[in-house]
Amino acid sequence: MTSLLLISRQSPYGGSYAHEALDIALSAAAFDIAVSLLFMDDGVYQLLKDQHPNHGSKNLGAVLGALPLYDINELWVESDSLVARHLQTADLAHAAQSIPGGEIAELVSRFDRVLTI
Amino acid sequence: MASGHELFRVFFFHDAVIAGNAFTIAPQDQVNLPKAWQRFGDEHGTDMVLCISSALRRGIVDAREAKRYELGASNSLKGFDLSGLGQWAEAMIVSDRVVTFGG
Repeated sequence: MTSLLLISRQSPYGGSYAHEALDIALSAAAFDIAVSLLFMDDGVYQLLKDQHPNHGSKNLGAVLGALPLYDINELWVESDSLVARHLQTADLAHAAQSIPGGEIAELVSRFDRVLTI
Repeated sequence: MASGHELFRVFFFHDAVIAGNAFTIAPQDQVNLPKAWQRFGDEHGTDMVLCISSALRRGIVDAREAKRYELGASNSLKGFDLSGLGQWAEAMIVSDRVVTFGG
């Protein structure tokens, strides 16, 4: 089984990258690819609790909540990105494992494929 | 390609789908990128796929989608197919390297 680490670095709203990254994750999972997600930079905002986007934007938090249905259970969040934005893991709606920036190279090396959006 | 690598597919995603817009006109002294990609695909027989949701969002449709949405014309360039993210996932499985630009 091919494994994929999808690194999501864009904020949840104001552009379609974050949503499209999740579309890729779901498509890959449908093809029996073992998908893990790493959120870093502004991508960490995707994990925040209580998202209430304006009418016309899809609630990204709700999509993230559906990931276990697609057997996507491994979520990572870069701790340095949280600190830089005055966020803590308690602010996050989803159980993501915290990883410092210095350990990401090792994380990446565990996967067959890596894609950054 | 010149080094002997085999390219299974080029998957155009997000803003990159404009590379498949036949209505693109470049200034005379500049490269017409869609035409350059089309030529590349022709020369190497490479499968070139535009992400269908990215394309529709940006007003790039083939004849089939133009009919489905009752549009007056289609504008995807010959040599490009509109298809879903599954094409990307499949390509990732069968290829031993995946190279992404602009991520």
